[in-house]
Amino acid sequence: MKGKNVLTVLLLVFVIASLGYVAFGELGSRASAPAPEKTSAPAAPAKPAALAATVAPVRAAAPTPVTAAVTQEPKTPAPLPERAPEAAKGAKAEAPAAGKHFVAYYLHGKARCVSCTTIEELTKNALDTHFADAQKSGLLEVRIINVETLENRHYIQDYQITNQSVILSEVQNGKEVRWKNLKQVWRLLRDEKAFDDYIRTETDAFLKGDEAGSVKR
Amino acid sequence: MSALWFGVATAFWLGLLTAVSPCPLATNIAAVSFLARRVAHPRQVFLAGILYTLGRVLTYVVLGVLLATSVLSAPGVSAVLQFTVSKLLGPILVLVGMILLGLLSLPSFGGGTSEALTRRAEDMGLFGALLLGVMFSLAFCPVSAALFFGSLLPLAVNAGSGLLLPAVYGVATGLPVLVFALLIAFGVKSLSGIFGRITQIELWARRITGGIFIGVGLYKTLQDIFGLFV
Repeated sequence: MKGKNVLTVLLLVFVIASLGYVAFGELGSRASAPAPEKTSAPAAPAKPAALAATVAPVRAAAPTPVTAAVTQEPKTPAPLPERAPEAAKGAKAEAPAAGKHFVAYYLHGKARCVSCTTIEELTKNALDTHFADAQKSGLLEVRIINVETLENRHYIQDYQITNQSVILSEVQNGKEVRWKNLKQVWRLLRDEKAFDDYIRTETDAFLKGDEAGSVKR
Repeated sequence: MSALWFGVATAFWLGLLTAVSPCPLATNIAAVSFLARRVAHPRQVFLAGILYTLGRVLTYVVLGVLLATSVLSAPGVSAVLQFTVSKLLGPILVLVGMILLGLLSLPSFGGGTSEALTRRAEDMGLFGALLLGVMFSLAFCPVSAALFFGSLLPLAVNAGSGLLLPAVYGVATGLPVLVFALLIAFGVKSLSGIFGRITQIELWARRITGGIFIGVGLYKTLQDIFGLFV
């Protein structure tokens, strides 16, 4: 009987501690997060039709307020867009502000699965193998980002993602001008060779300015 | 017409892939044990299996319709389900496991005979299967999110079927669990007939179910909340 009571108390403590961890984690990151990024105006107009067709067909019928916000075009030259802060930071750190550079994102959540870590690994391998020079020169930057943290959640709306994704982004003068979701990574993850070819050809074409399948800002 | 049949077949296949993928395996094991715990009553197991599947169908249909008509935004819904709802699943499973093991008891409201209470508990058991179907299908993990949001939804939108394809997908996600529950229930029933110890077997089935729920709940909590078992 005593053992049963001890087990009950232990499990209840575990449940309460877990829920407390979730609640306080959320409150803590809210408190430490920067000002909401969604309020800032984007630097360039988006193309909802292209976005809906390329990224999420489910959004084709009527853009949500978030998409509508992205389509607003500022009348005056916009400052560095807060909607792509990582890209902006990357531009500052590794490329001249006036220049053009590219960012390859792997966006994931806190819970990782075997498929998720495989996609991350294969993507990094392909980029390190075929684009080592571009990375050294600062032309291409690889970023692995946990979009579950509050400060990174804007990526979910920025790139309209519903799961772990590989995104290519072009940044000019500190502003993101276009991006592309490499959606075939989930289909190809069990075929290393095909996956490697896919990342190589897509990244190569994107770096050369091929706009097929890209969404312009 | 053939395009629609192709869509239906694909939705069914995607549902099966979701059900057997390693990611939701833990919850599927919990679901099987929950349905099969009343091994002495194969009819109830069958009914609970159907209600569990119906719970899944209901969830995917509601999500499918709301997303296909753009009432909700797919990225927003996916984020909430993956980052918030799935986190609650672990602690909830631990609590349900504790109830099944008798470590916690549900409060009873009002009087009533023991017979009425038993009937109510039975009703809760069947309703619980429906609830479990809804809860498990709402707790998206990366793989199921990729299959539902990345493959099924675009398919449903293109086919103009926000209702039928998610429903077929839902049936397929519940099918393996239903089949396993029936096999276990009828298998144990025939075994118990030999040994004539059905009550004892059911008592142990209930304990095993409680243990599995607590185990799966602890695993999901450590994985989804504390980020272990990468």
